[in-house]
Amino acid sequence: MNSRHPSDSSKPSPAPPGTSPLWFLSTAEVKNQLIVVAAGTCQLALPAGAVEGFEERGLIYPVPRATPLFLGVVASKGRLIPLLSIDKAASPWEKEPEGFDFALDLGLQCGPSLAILRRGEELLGIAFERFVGFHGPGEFTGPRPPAPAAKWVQASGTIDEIPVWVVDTGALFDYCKARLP
Amino acid sequence: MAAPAQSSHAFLLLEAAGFEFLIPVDQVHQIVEIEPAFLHMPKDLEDEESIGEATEPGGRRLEVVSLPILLTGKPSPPASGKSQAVEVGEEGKRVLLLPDRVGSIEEYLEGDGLSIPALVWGAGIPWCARAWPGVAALRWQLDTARLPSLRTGL
Repeated sequence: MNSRHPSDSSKPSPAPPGTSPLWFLSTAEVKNQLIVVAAGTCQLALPAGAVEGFEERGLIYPVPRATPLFLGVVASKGRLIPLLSIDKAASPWEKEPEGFDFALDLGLQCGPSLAILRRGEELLGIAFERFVGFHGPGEFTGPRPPAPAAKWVQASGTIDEIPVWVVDTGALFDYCKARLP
Repeated sequence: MAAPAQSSHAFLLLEAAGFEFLIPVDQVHQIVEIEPAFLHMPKDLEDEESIGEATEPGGRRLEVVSLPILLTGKPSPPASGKSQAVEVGEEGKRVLLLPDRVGSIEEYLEGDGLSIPALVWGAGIPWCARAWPGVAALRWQLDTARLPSLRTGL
């Protein structure tokens, strides 16, 4: 049985800013951070200020006549969120392989976690495999990848020799709303 | 104080290309049986989803529109016998929608429906505003007033 010393009941004084992990990032600083996630063959750096939240990805419902950029919609907190296919957003003209069963294989195409991006009232989901970490806003300064990804990727870099794409979320929303070639 | 009662809506369930669609029953004029052998195929029907014309006993001809082709772009295997089709549309623009199967009439509460984000259609036509959770999929509400724009793509 644990015993408690009377002096333990006194409230500990807060650590001064800059020395406690809780003080390490202020809200303003977090908004400017990049959250890097592994999605398929690349890693995406998402501006934290544009991320509404992360959660476990639910079932993917295919949508008739949806633009090929989307795998379908996923349900979250009573809403349906369009689930972007990163592979298709990078090369929308890629065809599905022969014999691909769209209804059965949707869940195998992407990771089990979901990042929800927000722009005003619009929401956009990105499925990913795992978190990679927080990175500073100026850490990735490499060139944009080839088109059409260049329309929504503002810079690139690498972590452990794996490519990282810094996502311009506003441009990504605009790209999803544009008419594809 | 009692919570206000949610209004319910009656829909006719249609299956097409593995999807389930709901049409408000007040937009359904009638359900008819079509025998493939009695489908006429005029040469001026150029739309892919238009698969012919059916003649009613009174002599009225109605265009038959394949629901699987219209909403998924993929035809379903041809039916071996009679099929059921649903007459919808405004007067003068009526068509027979031919699904893979006509299901039952079901009621759904307004609040149980989920809004479909228009973003999934990109620059395309947001043809469906709401869906209801089904057994293992969503049931898509089909507004027949949007059918003409779906067909023209405008």
